[in-house]
Amino acid sequence: MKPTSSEPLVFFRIAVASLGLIQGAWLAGNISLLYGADGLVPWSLSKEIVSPYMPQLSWLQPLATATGTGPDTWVYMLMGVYMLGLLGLLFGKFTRLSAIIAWALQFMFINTGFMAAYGVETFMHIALFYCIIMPVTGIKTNEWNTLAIRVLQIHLCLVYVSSGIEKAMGAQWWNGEAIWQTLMQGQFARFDMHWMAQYPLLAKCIGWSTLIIEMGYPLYIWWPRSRPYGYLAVVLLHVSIAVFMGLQLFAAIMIIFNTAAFGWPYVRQAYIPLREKRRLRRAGAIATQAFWNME
Amino acid sequence: MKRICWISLASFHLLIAGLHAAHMKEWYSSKNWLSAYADFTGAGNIFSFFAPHIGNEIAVVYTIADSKSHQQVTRLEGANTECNRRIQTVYNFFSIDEAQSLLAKSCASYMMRQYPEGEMVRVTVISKQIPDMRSFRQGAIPKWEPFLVKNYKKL
Repeated sequence: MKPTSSEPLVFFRIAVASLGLIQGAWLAGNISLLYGADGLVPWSLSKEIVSPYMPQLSWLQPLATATGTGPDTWVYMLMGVYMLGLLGLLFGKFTRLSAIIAWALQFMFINTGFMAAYGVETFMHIALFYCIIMPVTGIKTNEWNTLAIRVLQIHLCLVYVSSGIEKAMGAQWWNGEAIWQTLMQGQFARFDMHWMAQYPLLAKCIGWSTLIIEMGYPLYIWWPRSRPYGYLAVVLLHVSIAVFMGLQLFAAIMIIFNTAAFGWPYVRQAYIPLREKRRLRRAGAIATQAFWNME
Repeated sequence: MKRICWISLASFHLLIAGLHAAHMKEWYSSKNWLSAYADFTGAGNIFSFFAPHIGNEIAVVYTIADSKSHQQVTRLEGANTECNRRIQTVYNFFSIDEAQSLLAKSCASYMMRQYPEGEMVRVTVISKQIPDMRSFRQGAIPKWEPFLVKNYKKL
Protein backbone atom coordinates (compact mmCIF):
# COMPACT_ATOMS: atom_id res chain seq x y z
CA MET A 1 0.00 0.00 0.00
CA LYS A 2 1.27 3.43 -0.95
CA PRO A 3 1.58 5.74 2.10
CA THR A 4 -0.80 8.70 2.05
CA SER A 5 -1.45 11.74 4.21
CA SER A 6 -3.98 11.59 7.04
CA GLU A 7 -5.36 15.01 6.09
CA PRO A 8 -8.65 13.58 4.67
CA LEU A 9 -9.15 11.60 7.89
CA VAL A 10 -8.48 14.63 10.08
CA PHE A 11 -10.99 16.55 7.95
CA PHE A 12 -13.43 13.63 8.44
CA ARG A 13 -13.06 13.77 12.25
CA ILE A 14 -13.47 17.55 12.48
CA ALA A 15 -16.39 17.66 10.05
CA VAL A 16 -18.26 14.75 11.65
CA ALA A 17 -17.83 16.20 15.14
CA SER A 18 -18.97 19.64 13.96
CA LEU A 19 -22.04 18.16 12.30
CA GLY A 20 -22.88 16.14 15.42
CA LEU A 21 -22.66 19.29 17.52
CA ILE A 22 -24.91 21.21 15.10
CA GLN A 23 -27.42 18.37 15.16
CA GLY A 24 -27.31 18.16 18.97
CA ALA A 25 -27.82 21.91 19.33
CA TRP A 26 -30.65 21.82 16.77
CA LEU A 27 -32.53 19.13 18.67
CA ALA A 28 -31.62 20.23 22.20
CA GLY A 29 -35.05 21.69 22.90
CA ASN A 30 -36.86 18.52 21.84
CA ILE A 31 -34.89 15.83 23.65
CA SER A 32 -37.83 14.82 25.87
CA LEU A 33 -40.18 14.51 22.90
CA LEU A 34 -37.77 12.40 20.85
CA TYR A 35 -35.87 10.39 23.46
CA GLY A 36 -37.62 10.95 26.81
CA ALA A 37 -39.05 8.17 28.97
CA ASP A 38 -42.53 9.51 28.16
CA GLY A 39 -41.70 10.79 24.72
CA LEU A 40 -43.63 10.31 21.52
CA VAL A 41 -42.29 6.75 21.43
CA PRO A 42 -41.97 5.99 25.18
CA TRP A 43 -39.25 3.75 26.60
CA SER A 44 -41.90 1.19 27.55
CA LEU A 45 -42.57 0.73 23.83
CA SER A 46 -39.04 1.03 22.43
CA LYS A 47 -37.59 -1.48 24.89
CA GLU A 48 -40.13 -4.07 23.74
CA ILE A 49 -39.02 -3.67 20.14
CA VAL A 50 -35.25 -3.12 20.47
CA SER A 51 -33.14 -6.15 21.42
CA PRO A 52 -32.40 -6.14 25.19
CA TYR A 53 -28.68 -6.45 24.39
CA MET A 54 -28.62 -3.16 22.51
CA PRO A 55 -27.63 -0.12 24.58
CA GLN A 56 -30.71 2.02 25.13
CA LEU A 57 -31.87 4.85 27.33
CA SER A 58 -34.35 2.66 29.22
CA TRP A 59 -31.29 1.23 30.98
CA LEU A 60 -31.27 4.50 32.90
CA GLN A 61 -34.61 3.71 34.55
CA PRO A 62 -33.17 1.85 37.60
CA LEU A 63 -30.64 4.66 38.07
CA ALA A 64 -33.39 7.27 37.90
CA THR A 65 -35.48 5.32 40.42
CA ALA A 66 -32.53 4.81 42.78
CA THR A 67 -31.48 8.47 42.73
CA GLY A 68 -35.01 9.86 42.70
CA THR A 69 -34.10 11.98 39.69
CA GLY A 70 -36.44 12.17 36.71
CA PRO A 71 -35.32 9.91 33.83
CA ASP A 72 -35.37 12.84 31.42
CA THR A 73 -32.81 14.65 33.59
CA TRP A 74 -30.48 11.70 32.98
CA VAL A 75 -31.24 11.85 29.26
CA TYR A 76 -30.24 15.53 29.21
CA MET A 77 -27.08 14.70 31.16
CA LEU A 78 -26.18 11.98 28.66
CA MET A 79 -26.81 14.40 25.81
CA GLY A 80 -24.39 16.79 27.52
CA VAL A 81 -21.75 14.06 27.80
CA TYR A 82 -22.33 13.16 24.14
CA MET A 83 -21.73 16.78 23.15
CA LEU A 84 -18.56 16.84 25.29
CA GLY A 85 -17.40 13.70 23.50
CA LEU A 86 -17.98 15.44 20.18
CA LEU A 87 -16.08 18.51 21.40
CA GLY A 88 -13.15 16.28 22.33
CA LEU A 89 -13.30 14.75 18.87
CA LEU A 90 -13.51 18.17 17.25
CA PHE A 91 -10.41 19.52 19.01
CA GLY A 92 -8.53 16.23 18.89
CA LYS A 93 -8.30 15.97 22.69
CA PHE A 94 -8.36 12.40 24.04
CA THR A 95 -9.55 11.62 20.54
CA ARG A 96 -10.11 7.88 20.82
CA LEU A 97 -11.82 8.12 24.22
CA SER A 98 -13.98 11.00 22.95
CA ALA A 99 -14.91 8.97 19.86
CA ILE A 100 -15.83 5.95 21.99
CA ILE A 101 -18.02 8.08 24.27
CA ALA A 102 -19.72 9.83 21.35
CA TRP A 103 -20.25 6.55 19.45
CA ALA A 104 -21.66 4.67 22.47
CA LEU A 105 -24.05 7.45 23.47
CA GLN A 106 -25.18 8.11 19.91
CA PHE A 107 -25.91 4.38 19.64
CA MET A 108 -28.02 4.55 22.82
CA PHE A 109 -29.97 7.51 21.45
CA ILE A 110 -30.63 5.97 18.04
CA ASN A 111 -31.66 2.63 19.54
CA THR A 112 -34.17 4.35 21.79
CA GLY A 113 -35.38 6.78 19.15
CA PHE A 114 -35.05 4.32 16.27
CA MET A 115 -38.51 5.21 14.98
CA ALA A 116 -37.48 8.85 14.62
CA ALA A 117 -34.07 8.14 13.12
CA TYR A 118 -33.31 8.64 9.44
CA GLY A 119 -30.26 8.61 7.15
CA VAL A 120 -28.23 11.17 9.06
CA GLU A 121 -28.26 9.00 12.20
CA THR A 122 -27.25 5.93 10.18
CA PHE A 123 -24.21 7.67 8.72
CA MET A 124 -23.30 9.41 11.98
CA HIS A 125 -23.15 6.00 13.64
CA ILE A 126 -20.90 4.64 10.88
CA ALA A 127 -18.71 7.77 11.03
CA LEU A 128 -18.27 7.69 14.81
CA PHE A 129 -17.28 4.02 14.68
CA TYR A 130 -14.69 4.86 12.02
CA CYS A 131 -13.41 7.72 14.20
CA ILE A 132 -12.59 5.11 16.88
CA ILE A 133 -10.82 2.69 14.54
CA MET A 134 -9.18 4.97 11.99
CA PRO A 135 -6.09 7.18 12.43
CA VAL A 136 -8.02 10.46 12.53
CA THR A 137 -5.77 12.34 14.96
CA GLY A 138 -2.57 13.86 13.62
CA ILE A 139 -1.16 14.81 10.23
CA LYS A 140 1.09 11.89 9.31
CA THR A 141 1.85 10.04 6.13
CA ASN A 142 1.70 6.28 6.32
CA GLU A 143 0.06 3.21 4.83
CA TRP A 144 -2.59 2.95 7.61
CA ASN A 145 -4.15 6.13 6.27
CA THR A 146 -4.30 4.49 2.85
CA LEU A 147 -6.10 1.46 4.31
CA ALA A 148 -8.55 3.64 6.27
CA ILE A 149 -9.36 5.78 3.24
CA ARG A 150 -9.77 2.66 1.12
CA VAL A 151 -12.33 1.32 3.64
CA LEU A 152 -14.27 4.60 3.42
CA GLN A 153 -14.13 4.47 -0.37
CA ILE A 154 -15.38 0.88 -0.65
CA HIS A 155 -18.07 1.46 1.97
CA LEU A 156 -19.35 4.45 -0.01
CA CYS A 157 -19.39 2.39 -3.20
CA LEU A 158 -21.53 -0.23 -1.41
CA VAL A 159 -23.87 2.48 -0.13
CA TYR A 160 -24.45 4.14 -3.50
CA VAL A 161 -24.71 0.96 -5.56
CA SER A 162 -27.18 -0.69 -3.19
CA SER A 163 -29.20 2.52 -2.90
CA GLY A 164 -29.24 2.87 -6.70
CA ILE A 165 -30.28 -0.76 -7.27
CA GLU A 166 -33.10 -0.46 -4.71
CA LYS A 167 -34.36 2.67 -6.46
CA ALA A 168 -34.06 1.06 -9.88
CA MET A 169 -36.43 -1.72 -8.74
CA GLY A 170 -39.28 0.81 -8.59
CA ALA A 171 -40.97 2.09 -11.74
CA GLN A 172 -41.34 5.57 -10.16
CA TRP A 173 -37.62 6.26 -10.54
CA TRP A 174 -37.69 5.41 -14.24
CA ASN A 175 -40.75 7.48 -15.19
CA GLY A 176 -39.93 10.52 -13.04
CA GLU A 177 -42.87 10.05 -10.66
CA ALA A 178 -40.47 9.59 -7.71
CA ILE A 179 -39.19 13.14 -8.17
CA TRP A 180 -42.70 14.55 -8.65
CA GLN A 181 -44.16 12.68 -5.66
CA THR A 182 -41.29 13.73 -3.39
CA LEU A 183 -41.40 17.40 -4.33
CA MET A 184 -45.18 17.47 -3.85
CA GLN A 185 -44.95 16.26 -0.24
CA GLY A 186 -45.18 19.06 2.31
CA GLN A 187 -42.54 17.44 4.49
CA PHE A 188 -39.90 17.87 1.76
CA ALA A 189 -41.14 20.65 -0.52
CA ARG A 190 -39.28 23.92 -0.07
CA PHE A 191 -40.59 25.55 -3.26
CA ASP A 192 -43.79 25.40 -5.23
CA MET A 193 -42.95 22.71 -7.79
CA HIS A 194 -46.43 22.15 -9.27
CA TRP A 195 -45.10 23.40 -12.63
CA MET A 196 -43.04 20.21 -12.93
CA ALA A 197 -46.15 18.28 -13.99
CA GLN A 198 -46.01 20.25 -17.26
CA TYR A 199 -42.47 18.97 -17.90
CA PRO A 200 -42.54 15.23 -17.16
CA LEU A 201 -39.38 14.79 -19.20
CA LEU A 202 -37.50 16.97 -16.71
CA ALA A 203 -38.67 14.81 -13.78
CA LYS A 204 -37.68 11.72 -15.77
CA CYS A 205 -34.20 13.17 -16.46
CA ILE A 206 -33.67 13.94 -12.76
CA GLY A 207 -34.79 10.41 -11.84
CA TRP A 208 -32.47 8.84 -14.40
CA SER A 209 -29.57 11.10 -13.37
CA THR A 210 -30.00 9.97 -9.77
CA LEU A 211 -29.95 6.33 -10.85
CA ILE A 212 -26.85 6.86 -13.00
CA ILE A 213 -25.03 8.77 -10.25
CA GLU A 214 -25.80 6.11 -7.65
CA MET A 215 -25.38 2.91 -9.67
CA GLY A 216 -22.41 4.18 -11.67
CA TYR A 217 -20.63 5.54 -8.58
CA PRO A 218 -17.88 2.88 -8.32
CA LEU A 219 -17.07 3.25 -12.02
CA TYR A 220 -16.65 6.99 -12.36
CA ILE A 221 -15.28 7.63 -8.87
CA TRP A 222 -12.58 4.97 -9.19
CA TRP A 223 -11.26 6.12 -12.56
CA PRO A 224 -8.93 9.05 -11.76
CA ARG A 225 -9.87 10.97 -14.93
CA SER A 226 -13.61 11.01 -14.22
CA ARG A 227 -13.23 11.26 -10.43
CA PRO A 228 -13.29 15.09 -10.06
CA TYR A 229 -16.41 15.34 -12.26
CA GLY A 230 -18.01 12.41 -10.44
CA TYR A 231 -17.24 13.94 -7.06
CA LEU A 232 -18.75 17.23 -8.23
CA ALA A 233 -21.87 15.44 -9.49
CA VAL A 234 -22.36 13.65 -6.15
CA VAL A 235 -21.84 16.88 -4.20
CA LEU A 236 -24.36 18.65 -6.45
CA LEU A 237 -26.84 15.78 -5.94
CA HIS A 238 -26.58 16.20 -2.17
CA VAL A 239 -26.70 20.00 -2.34
CA SER A 240 -29.93 19.63 -4.36
CA ILE A 241 -31.29 17.30 -1.68
CA ALA A 242 -30.51 19.95 0.94
CA VAL A 243 -31.99 22.83 -1.05
CA PHE A 244 -35.08 21.18 -2.55
CA MET A 245 -35.94 18.67 0.18
CA GLY A 246 -34.62 20.40 3.30
CA LEU A 247 -32.47 17.42 4.30
CA GLN A 248 -29.47 19.59 5.20
CA LEU A 249 -27.91 17.34 7.83
CA PHE A 250 -28.17 14.24 5.66
CA ALA A 251 -26.72 16.08 2.68
CA ALA A 252 -23.90 17.42 4.84
CA ILE A 253 -22.85 14.04 6.20
CA MET A 254 -22.86 12.50 2.72
CA ILE A 255 -20.69 15.35 1.40
CA ILE A 256 -18.33 14.84 4.36
CA PHE A 257 -18.03 11.10 3.59
CA ASN A 258 -17.44 11.78 -0.12
CA THR A 259 -14.89 14.50 0.55
CA ALA A 260 -12.90 12.37 3.00
CA ALA A 261 -13.00 9.33 0.73
CA PHE A 262 -12.46 10.87 -2.71
CA GLY A 263 -12.73 14.65 -2.80
CA TRP A 264 -10.07 15.89 -0.39
CA PRO A 265 -7.35 16.49 -3.04
CA TYR A 266 -9.75 18.74 -5.01
CA VAL A 267 -10.95 20.61 -1.92
CA ARG A 268 -7.31 21.05 -0.87
CA GLN A 269 -6.41 22.38 -4.30
CA ALA A 270 -9.16 24.97 -4.00
CA TYR A 271 -8.52 25.77 -0.33
CA ILE A 272 -4.70 26.07 -0.17
CA PRO A 273 -4.35 28.92 -2.73
CA LEU A 274 -7.12 30.82 -0.89
CA ARG A 275 -5.27 30.34 2.41
CA GLU A 276 -1.96 31.41 0.87
CA LYS A 277 -3.58 34.50 -0.63
CA ARG A 278 -5.00 35.43 2.78
CA ARG A 279 -1.62 34.93 4.44
CA LEU A 280 0.11 37.06 1.81
CA ARG A 281 -2.45 39.83 2.28
CA ARG A 282 -1.90 39.72 6.05
CA ALA A 283 1.89 39.79 5.60
CA GLY A 284 1.53 42.75 3.24
CA ALA A 285 -0.56 44.65 5.80
CA ILE A 286 2.00 43.97 8.56
CA ALA A 287 4.87 45.08 6.29
CA THR A 288 3.03 48.30 5.36
CA GLN A 289 2.32 49.02 9.03
CA ALA A 290 6.00 48.42 9.88
CA PHE A 291 7.04 50.80 7.08
CA TRP A 292 4.81 53.61 8.37
CA ASN A 293 6.00 53.00 11.92
CA MET A 294 9.62 53.52 10.70
CA GLU A 295 8.63 56.83 9.13
CA MET B 1 1.66 -9.75 10.01
CA LYS B 2 0.03 -6.64 11.54
CA ARG B 3 -0.75 -5.40 8.06
CA ILE B 4 -2.36 -8.72 7.03
CA CYS B 5 -4.49 -8.71 10.21
CA TRP B 6 -5.79 -5.19 9.58
CA ILE B 7 -6.47 -5.82 5.90
CA SER B 8 -8.36 -9.02 6.83
CA LEU B 9 -10.41 -7.14 9.44
CA ALA B 10 -11.19 -4.35 6.98
CA SER B 11 -12.22 -6.90 4.33
CA PHE B 12 -14.43 -8.72 6.82
CA HIS B 13 -16.09 -5.47 7.89
CA LEU B 14 -16.79 -4.44 4.30
CA LEU B 15 -18.07 -7.91 3.45
CA ILE B 16 -20.56 -7.68 6.33
CA ALA B 17 -21.55 -4.16 5.22
CA GLY B 18 -22.08 -5.41 1.66
CA LEU B 19 -24.12 -8.44 2.73
CA HIS B 20 -26.34 -6.33 4.98
CA ALA B 21 -26.83 -3.74 2.24
CA ALA B 22 -28.11 -6.70 0.18
CA HIS B 23 -30.75 -7.39 2.89
CA MET B 24 -28.84 -10.21 4.60
CA LYS B 25 -30.98 -9.70 7.74
CA GLU B 26 -34.00 -10.94 5.80
CA TRP B 27 -32.27 -14.23 4.97
CA TYR B 28 -32.38 -15.49 8.54
CA SER B 29 -34.64 -14.72 11.46
CA SER B 30 -32.46 -15.41 14.49
CA LYS B 31 -30.08 -12.82 15.90
CA ASN B 32 -26.48 -13.93 16.13
CA TRP B 33 -23.04 -12.44 16.80
CA LEU B 34 -22.78 -11.35 13.18
CA SER B 35 -25.89 -9.20 13.32
CA ALA B 36 -24.74 -7.81 16.70
CA TYR B 37 -21.38 -6.93 15.14
CA ALA B 38 -23.20 -5.28 12.23
CA ASP B 39 -25.48 -3.28 14.52
CA PHE B 40 -22.67 -2.04 16.75
CA THR B 41 -20.28 -1.06 13.96
CA GLY B 42 -22.79 0.42 11.54
CA ALA B 43 -22.14 -2.34 9.01
CA GLY B 44 -25.72 -3.59 9.33
CA ASN B 45 -27.58 -0.93 7.40
CA ILE B 46 -29.85 -1.12 4.40
CA PHE B 47 -29.73 1.89 2.10
CA SER B 48 -33.22 1.87 0.64
CA PHE B 49 -33.75 5.65 0.86
CA PHE B 50 -36.87 6.61 -1.12
CA ALA B 51 -36.86 3.15 -2.70
CA PRO B 52 -38.28 1.33 -4.48
CA HIS B 53 -41.15 3.86 -4.50
CA ILE B 54 -42.15 6.97 -2.60
CA GLY B 55 -44.59 6.40 0.24
CA ASN B 56 -47.50 8.74 0.90
CA GLU B 57 -46.96 11.63 3.27
CA ILE B 58 -48.61 10.94 6.61
CA ALA B 59 -49.75 13.50 9.17
CA VAL B 60 -51.57 13.26 12.47
CA VAL B 61 -54.21 15.67 13.76
CA TYR B 62 -55.11 15.60 17.44
CA THR B 63 -58.48 16.72 18.80
CA ILE B 64 -58.36 17.25 22.54
CA ALA B 65 -61.57 17.66 24.50
CA ASP B 66 -61.71 18.78 28.14
CA SER B 67 -64.39 18.05 30.76
CA LYS B 68 -66.39 21.13 29.64
CA SER B 69 -66.55 19.74 26.09
CA HIS B 70 -64.21 22.41 24.76
CA GLN B 71 -62.36 21.02 21.80
CA GLN B 72 -58.95 21.94 20.54
CA VAL B 73 -57.49 20.71 17.27
CA THR B 74 -53.74 20.66 17.20
CA ARG B 75 -50.64 19.11 15.65
CA LEU B 76 -47.33 18.17 17.18
CA GLU B 77 -45.08 19.81 14.62
CA GLY B 78 -43.58 23.16 15.58
CA ALA B 79 -40.99 25.63 14.34
CA ASN B 80 -38.02 23.25 14.59
CA THR B 81 -37.71 21.71 11.13
CA GLU B 82 -35.24 19.03 12.21
CA CYS B 83 -37.55 17.91 15.00
CA ASN B 84 -40.50 17.95 12.58
CA ARG B 85 -38.52 15.67 10.26
CA ARG B 86 -38.19 13.13 13.08
CA ILE B 87 -41.85 13.37 14.08
CA GLN B 88 -42.68 12.73 10.42
CA THR B 89 -40.36 9.71 10.42
CA VAL B 90 -42.24 8.32 13.43
CA TYR B 91 -45.59 8.94 11.70
CA ASN B 92 -44.38 7.02 8.65
CA PHE B 93 -44.70 3.86 10.77
CA PHE B 94 -48.49 4.31 10.54
CA SER B 95 -48.17 2.84 7.06
CA ILE B 96 -47.46 -0.52 8.75
CA ASP B 97 -50.81 -2.05 9.73
CA GLU B 98 -49.43 -3.92 12.76
CA ALA B 99 -47.92 -0.72 14.21
CA GLN B 100 -51.00 1.49 13.87
CA SER B 101 -52.81 0.73 17.11
CA LEU B 102 -49.72 0.83 19.33
CA LEU B 103 -48.39 3.99 17.73
CA ALA B 104 -51.75 5.76 17.93
CA LYS B 105 -51.88 4.91 21.64
CA SER B 106 -48.36 6.29 22.16
CA CYS B 107 -49.18 9.52 20.33
CA ALA B 108 -52.43 9.93 22.28
CA SER B 109 -50.73 9.34 25.59
CA TYR B 110 -48.01 11.89 24.75
CA MET B 111 -50.66 14.48 23.88
CA MET B 112 -52.59 13.72 27.08
CA ARG B 113 -49.44 14.54 29.05
CA GLN B 114 -49.01 17.80 27.11
CA TYR B 115 -52.63 18.79 27.78
CA PRO B 116 -53.40 17.64 31.36
CA GLU B 117 -56.78 19.38 31.26
CA GLY B 118 -57.84 17.12 28.38
CA GLU B 119 -60.26 14.30 29.09
CA MET B 120 -60.30 12.73 25.67
CA VAL B 121 -58.05 12.76 22.64
CA ARG B 122 -58.89 11.77 19.09
CA VAL B 123 -55.99 10.73 16.90
CA THR B 124 -56.73 11.21 13.21
CA VAL B 125 -54.08 9.86 10.88
CA ILE B 126 -54.28 11.31 7.40
CA SER B 127 -52.42 10.49 4.24
CA LYS B 128 -51.72 12.79 1.29
CA GLN B 129 -52.76 11.27 -2.02
CA ILE B 130 -50.76 12.89 -4.79
CA PRO B 131 -52.00 12.24 -8.33
CA ASP B 132 -49.44 11.29 -10.96
CA MET B 133 -48.21 14.00 -13.31
CA ARG B 134 -50.61 13.10 -16.12
CA SER B 135 -53.68 13.14 -13.83
CA PHE B 136 -52.49 16.42 -12.32
CA ARG B 137 -52.32 17.97 -15.78
CA GLN B 138 -55.88 16.76 -16.37
CA GLY B 139 -57.11 18.55 -13.26
CA ALA B 140 -56.67 16.07 -10.37
CA ILE B 141 -55.31 17.69 -7.21
CA PRO B 142 -53.47 16.34 -4.16
CA LYS B 143 -55.82 15.59 -1.27
CA TRP B 144 -55.60 14.46 2.33
CA GLU B 145 -57.61 11.42 3.33
CA PRO B 146 -58.05 10.01 6.84
CA PHE B 147 -57.17 6.35 7.20
CA LEU B 148 -57.14 5.85 10.95
CA VAL B 149 -59.26 7.50 13.64
CA LYS B 150 -58.90 6.44 17.27
CA ASN B 151 -60.41 7.90 20.42
CA TYR B 152 -58.77 7.62 23.82
CA LYS B 153 -60.18 8.65 27.20
CA LYS B 154 -58.24 9.57 30.30
CA LEU B 155 -58.42 6.74 32.83
